[in-house]
Amino acid sequence: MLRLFSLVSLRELRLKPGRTALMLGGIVVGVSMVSAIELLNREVVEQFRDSMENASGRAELQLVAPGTDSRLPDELAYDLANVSGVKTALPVIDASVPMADSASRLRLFATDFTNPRAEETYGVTIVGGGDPLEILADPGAALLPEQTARRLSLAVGDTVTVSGAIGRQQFRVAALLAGDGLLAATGEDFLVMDIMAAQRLLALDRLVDRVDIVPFEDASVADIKALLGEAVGHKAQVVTPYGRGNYFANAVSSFQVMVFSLSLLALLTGMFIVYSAVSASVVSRQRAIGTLRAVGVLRREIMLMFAAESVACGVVASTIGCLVGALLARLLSSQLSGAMGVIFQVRAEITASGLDAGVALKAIGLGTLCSLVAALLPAWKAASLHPLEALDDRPSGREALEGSQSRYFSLAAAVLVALVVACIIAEVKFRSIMLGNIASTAWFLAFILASVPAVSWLALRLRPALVHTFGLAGRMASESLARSSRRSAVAVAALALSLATTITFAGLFLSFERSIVGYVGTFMDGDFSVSSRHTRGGWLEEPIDSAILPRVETVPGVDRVETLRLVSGYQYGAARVGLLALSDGFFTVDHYGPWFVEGTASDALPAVRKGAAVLVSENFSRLHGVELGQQLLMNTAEGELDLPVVGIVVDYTSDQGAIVLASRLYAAQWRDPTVNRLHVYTSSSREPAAMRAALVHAVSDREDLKVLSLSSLLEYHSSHVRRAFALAGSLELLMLIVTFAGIVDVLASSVNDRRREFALLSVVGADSRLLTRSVMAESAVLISAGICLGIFGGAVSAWMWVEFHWTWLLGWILELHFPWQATARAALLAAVVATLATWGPARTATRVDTMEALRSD
Amino acid sequence: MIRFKNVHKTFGAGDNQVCAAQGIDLEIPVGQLCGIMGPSGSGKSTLLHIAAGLVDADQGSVSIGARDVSRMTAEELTLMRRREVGVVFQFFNLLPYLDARENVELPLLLDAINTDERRNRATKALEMVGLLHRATHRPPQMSGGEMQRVAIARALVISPRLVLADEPTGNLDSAAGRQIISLLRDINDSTGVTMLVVTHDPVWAANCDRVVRLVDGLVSEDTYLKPRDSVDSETNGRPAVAETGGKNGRKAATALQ
Ligand SMILES: Nc1ncnc2c1ncn2[C@@H]1O[C@H](COP(=O)(O)OP(=O)(O)O)[C@@H](O)[C@H]1O
Ligand SMILES: [Mg+2]
Repeated sequence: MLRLFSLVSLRELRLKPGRTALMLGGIVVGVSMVSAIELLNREVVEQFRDSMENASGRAELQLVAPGTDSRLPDELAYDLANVSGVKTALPVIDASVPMADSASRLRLFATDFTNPRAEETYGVTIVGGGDPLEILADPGAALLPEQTARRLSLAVGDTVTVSGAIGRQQFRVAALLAGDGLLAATGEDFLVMDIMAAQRLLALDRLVDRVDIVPFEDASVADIKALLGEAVGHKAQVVTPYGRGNYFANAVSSFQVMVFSLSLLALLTGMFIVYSAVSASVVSRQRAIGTLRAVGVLRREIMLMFAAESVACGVVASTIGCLVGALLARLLSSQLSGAMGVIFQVRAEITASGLDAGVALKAIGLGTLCSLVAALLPAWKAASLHPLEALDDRPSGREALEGSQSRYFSLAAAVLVALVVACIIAEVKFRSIMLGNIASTAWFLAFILASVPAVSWLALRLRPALVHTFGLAGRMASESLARSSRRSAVAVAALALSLATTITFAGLFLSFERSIVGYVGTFMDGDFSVSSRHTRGGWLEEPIDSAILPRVETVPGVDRVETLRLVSGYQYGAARVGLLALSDGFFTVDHYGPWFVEGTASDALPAVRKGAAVLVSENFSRLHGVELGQQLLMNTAEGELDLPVVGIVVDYTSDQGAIVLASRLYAAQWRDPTVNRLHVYTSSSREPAAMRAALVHAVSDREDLKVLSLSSLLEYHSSHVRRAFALAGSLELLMLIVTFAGIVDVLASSVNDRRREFALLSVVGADSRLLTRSVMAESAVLISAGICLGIFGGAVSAWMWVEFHWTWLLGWILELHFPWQATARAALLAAVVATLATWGPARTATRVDTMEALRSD
Repeated sequence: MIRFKNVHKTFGAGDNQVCAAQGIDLEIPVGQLCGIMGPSGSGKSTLLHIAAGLVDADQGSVSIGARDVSRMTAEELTLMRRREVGVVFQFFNLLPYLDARENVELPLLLDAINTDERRNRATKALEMVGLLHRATHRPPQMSGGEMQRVAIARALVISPRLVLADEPTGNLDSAAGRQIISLLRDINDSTGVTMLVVTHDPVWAANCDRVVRLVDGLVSEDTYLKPRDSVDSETNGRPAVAETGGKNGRKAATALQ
């Protein structure tokens, strides 16, 4: 067996380097994407966990506000120090702040350094000795880890300028932290200061991010946890630092599943390419297979030979794929960070680590398996070729075989479609991400299979039209189509696949962009917006102190100013939802009425404005099962808040849904005076440019602020959506390249394999122009079939993603926008590629010397 | 020895039905070089294919030695071709990317015969067809006659009980064809392997021990060109079917022309 492989297979593979490359390429692309995504996803999770654990020092438990961006009152720390078993309780601010003059950020860490245990808990060791309490007594002083100072080329005595809610703030580097301290050892760029200074910088009114609890060595952590739980009641949650990392990881897990499912789609495409390449190679090796069978090679051995070939290719390709994947992970990491920032408003600084053995083995196994599975059908076909038929090219009985298989393929496709429907129903019912993935993959498989009956059907239907248009050439074309519907189907499926992928991605992108931009453009429609220049990686700007509001309101020409505060990481149950606090002007029937899905705007809005009720977004209602009229229990800094839901509205601010409430209620209950944006409505009397200049002037002392016109704001949101989709775009591009290569191979080899037939036809008087025309007529049918099938498959797939998968995977309820432009572009490109792929070989194949072609063997 | 007993084979159905064999009875004793002639479409190839287990007979039986070919499974038939029956086609059916030696070694390779023995046997087979000096050449670098000689070596390398050759000269010019003919004759003389060779060439047929003529799937003539006792003792005493049996070769050739 191995001998047959080394003697025959290896030479065949070497003889057709293009096809071999394609077989390898299909798997390389699939495996590299799967392993890159796997590596990145793993990195995301680890990064969350690490960063949570690292900054927690020796604290074994933490109190956190239910939520990530929401904070808890600092007095908790002082109350809890007396709980038995608690050695100390430290209030902590652990936030990310932008550096004023660069794109980088520092991790702001502040605790109460008057607490004598603070130093040992966080391993704060000053280089050259010194007492942090004394050093940080100056509110303008901060500490930097040694390596951060080195990276930023700062020395003791220099200043660091960061941007907080109250604007730019300078801190003097008072001392450096030794590299072996706990905080410094994480390798992150910390900015350490006293808690009071940090609260001032972030405009926090006696709030902290968490309280770290250090138990006595001999105390039971579980007991303390229970005691603490009792003591704080609903005001906070008691968690372990590891658990907190998990919370972030869980929040993004469905996104990860989605990205992973896209990569599986790539692997599916790769499998298809392998299938078509092996099929093509079976056809071109027909004579060799016949010869082998004639000299006594068993069916089983032929089958094993092909299996060994595909396993060998699979192993080689997946190994390359893993290495490429590690590289790809590095290239895609910034795109993934971008996407996560836009979607979750979390900053994930993803730096893909190297390939690890686990991922590599899994990917190689998966790739090899896929390659084997893809080769099985063609290998079986090769093995069941009758030796004489293989040697003679006698078409005996082949048509009957294909006819029955066409029915078989329709049946398989129908079964898959049923599976898709069942999966979607179950997906909606059980909110299952996995089922959505299965549905999406099954749909692609279904229309790959459907291409076989589609070609047979088309060949039959189009025969009169072909004969009418192309005459003899048309008749020849339709004969050839009918005779080889399966070979043609491979080309059709390759075309359809590339088109459908494009349409799916583009449809999702367009729907996302249009929905969000439409929402922003009509809902947040102030003529100008004023906000921080800094974001956490997503579109949402850093909060600013609302004290700036009067200064903007008093600019001449300004009608009114509305504010928007979005807490993107509010914890509701186990989910990370958005908390959207809007000022009164938003809650008018004119403004909010059109966005109501359920509830009566005229009744609901006054109640919301008064702070007596809330609205929830459509996806919030769907994902968390909250209905109109229900009471919603929320944890706030001031205690529990129980308000009725009086309306369900369209909202795109958060993937897992948002609770919409009045600004005043929010500010009071959450002790948060900051806002993310000011929306400025002007009277029409002033020039827009002059108006903008006036606004810029009004806040000119705040260099951390930006003033955008409505159109710039829309462009700002569009560009963020583009960033979120950059990753998908990269994946799609790779898939397109491979599928196009597949199309070229299938079409070119199908023309080449017919050289003998062309020669025979030319013996009976068919000139090369007639032959070329017949091949082109045939390929025109294939191309149009592929394009139609691709548009149909892609449209359904895009619809499924927007209507179902996107909602259950990511939470957004979008309006479907069909990407006509992208579709037209992709269809045109596919048609051009396919035409060129046929035309070139057709010209050469039909011009070969007749006798030579007939003698060729 | 190979024996066909009342072999029938029909291709197609209905109006397209073609009878390629309609009751062929034929017995070729061990060591005989038997030529098969007949007009195109008379069922010569079909007969050979049935013997090689490439086509199943509809009715009747075929046995090679003591083994009944018609009762063998597809796998057994394949193994028979691998170990006992060498097949030579009109188109040489060599693998273009293997050199002459590798093409010849192919059947041995499948049975995991050790490298040394494989080499020896391939060398012998190539020597027998006079192509040892071209052992490392690939088919595209060879002439038609040379390729056919490689194909013959491949059939011989397994030390077959039977060699089946379907128009081995059909694709060659006459000079090369004659060379192949005398080669087959010599091999039969030196190894005593039974051979069934389809040919259109009467001159070559004249060199056979016996010539069977097929017409419309039936044996119409069966001519012994060599004294029967020089063949196998197994057939001794059996009456020759042919009218022309026993005549000398030269005369038979003239008659056939
Ligand atoms: N696989 C097949 N399918 C249909 N008809 C066949 C097949 N093989 C042979 N035939 C028919 O059987 C008859 C005998 O063929 P064959 O044995 O090849 O003739 P010969 O070799 O004597 O020219 C011919 O009419 C041929 O068309
Ligand atoms: Mg024949």
